[in-house]
Amino acid sequence: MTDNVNTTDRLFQLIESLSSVDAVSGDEGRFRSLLVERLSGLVDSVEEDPLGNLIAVRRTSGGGAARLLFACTDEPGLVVTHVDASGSLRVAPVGDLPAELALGAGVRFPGEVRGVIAGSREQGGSLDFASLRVDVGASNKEEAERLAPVGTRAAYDVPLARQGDSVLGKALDSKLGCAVLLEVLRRSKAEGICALFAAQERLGGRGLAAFASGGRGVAEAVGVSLADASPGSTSSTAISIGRGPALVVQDGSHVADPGLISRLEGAAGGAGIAVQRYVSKDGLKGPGHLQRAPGGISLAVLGIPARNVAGISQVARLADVAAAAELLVRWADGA
Amino acid sequence: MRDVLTEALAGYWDEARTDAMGNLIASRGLDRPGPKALVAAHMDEVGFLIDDIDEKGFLRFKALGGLDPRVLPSKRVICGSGRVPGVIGAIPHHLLDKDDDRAPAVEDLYIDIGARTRDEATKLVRAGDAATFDTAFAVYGPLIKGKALDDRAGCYIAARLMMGDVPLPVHYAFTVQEEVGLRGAKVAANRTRPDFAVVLEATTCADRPDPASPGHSTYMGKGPVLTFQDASSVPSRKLLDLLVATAEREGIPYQWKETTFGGNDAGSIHKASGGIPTVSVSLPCRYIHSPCSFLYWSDIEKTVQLVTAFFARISKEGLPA
Repeated sequence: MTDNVNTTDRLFQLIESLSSVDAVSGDEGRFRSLLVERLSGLVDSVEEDPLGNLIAVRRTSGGGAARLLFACTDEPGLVVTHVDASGSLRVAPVGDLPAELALGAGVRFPGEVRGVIAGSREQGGSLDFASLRVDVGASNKEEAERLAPVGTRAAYDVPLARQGDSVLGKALDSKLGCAVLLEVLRRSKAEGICALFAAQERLGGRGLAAFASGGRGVAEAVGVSLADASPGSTSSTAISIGRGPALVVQDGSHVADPGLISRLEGAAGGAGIAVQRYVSKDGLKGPGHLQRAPGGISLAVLGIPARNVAGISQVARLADVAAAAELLVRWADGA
Repeated sequence: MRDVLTEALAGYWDEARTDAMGNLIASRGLDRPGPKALVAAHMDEVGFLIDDIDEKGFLRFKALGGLDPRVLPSKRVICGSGRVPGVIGAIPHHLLDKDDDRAPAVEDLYIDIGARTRDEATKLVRAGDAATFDTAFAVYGPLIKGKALDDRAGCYIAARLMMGDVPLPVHYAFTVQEEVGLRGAKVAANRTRPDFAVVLEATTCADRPDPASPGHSTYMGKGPVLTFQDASSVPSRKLLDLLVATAEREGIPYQWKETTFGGNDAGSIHKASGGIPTVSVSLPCRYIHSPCSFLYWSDIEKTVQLVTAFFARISKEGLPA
């Protein structure tokens, strides 16, 4: 029991640390730096590619790494497109979070510059980003340009919170996914493993697409993301938070390798880890690109059950995060 | 288009090939030291694919690329390899309901080549032929006017760079099928596997009479356009910073594309070959994707200057770390 408590506390601290650094798609450099720090001593090499992917490799004595673990690194946000004479900022979305949900949220630009998303809906009209403004408290154009020039990205400003076993925070697909990868690398001594921290997922799975086009000799890949456990989710299988990680049998971008799903289920059963199955029409875009890399890759994705996956903040359970890590340690060790 | 480029450039390249998709890839200075560049500009243009000829001899069509149906009625087009002239027909105004002010859909439009029957029409044009806008190129004082300046202007700048030569090994890719999904560039990038890429484009410019309206994107006459994000890519920040530093050092004006719509060949190139650092340098072009677009000559010249200085700097200092 003490062990479990320690594991959970440690995982929460890791997730909290990952959540403290923003990583809006295409501007993930500071988050990458944090990951590089955390990877120290866990792998043989860490490489950054032109898309912003971080590729961490633990080689076999013979050379390569045929098994890949992946999670995405990015989160939705905004980019400044124009600074008005009054000092308010026009913005465009980065990622597909709808304007309806963005209205009223606080945002954070690099350098700890804060802003508020302001706007109002015309009677009966719909809300889009063109009608929103970000207020950084500037009183004129020059002041606003000093704080957030055109092209600057802002992240949603949401601190991570813990409530019992629940974890509440933003971009949990990235933050939990990266935490699981780091935990697996910490606990497994397996060789021949590559951990890919994939950039620009929210812009169409571009990080994984670029990685896939590089022909790196990966044979099998397992990703970690979220699975939608919201009431009324668009998923066709009802899953719950706290009942174990969900094996994504099929989502909008891919159909998992059934053999790999069976092996993961077998490994989970053998270790007494509860898992769920999940089918959805949504999900990450990148796994489909990765699976269709030249020659094809055997692929599956593990979803941490979470609620409000389409919103700014999500709710998930630490026990599910720990179970996902436990299962993937077994996969890494050869299950 | 490929023939025109070949005739103009064959004396300047060291080697060239037309690949299976139809991209013209011409290379110069591949034995030079320094990072290998890919300069890409697309040869294709938006237009029409004739997909049916009806019994009255009217040609039905699908859009090839992003066409705004509002600008199509009554425009002149040229159909097929026989270069048959035609006019785009629509339901005339007096036959519409009084309060029907909707734009026509492409399905409601047709090309009229003056044929009276299907037989008469099929002697001139066949289903599967393409049609293009029939617009003469002209110089209007400081402006140039013509169809498809997106991306003839990019091809022109690539040609100028090749003729002027840059002190780096460079593949110049004149790509196909950009307007239907950035297709040619993917093949060109995977074949050439460059160390970095520069995409030369003409981009949206809606600097309309109403200055307060948002979404203008760019302004004509304010110099080359740099992109921080569009629908197809987020450019390499390091290359973008170097472009800005180069423009500032050389005193070349530049502007940001202040929208995130649209995409270009950078979308395919940056994801190819394991990921390629890529930037776009674009021209502010009014009435893009319409029968008649406008560009300032001065914007073209400044773009040539900026990209030339950018390559010179990379030749001296290498790619930014």
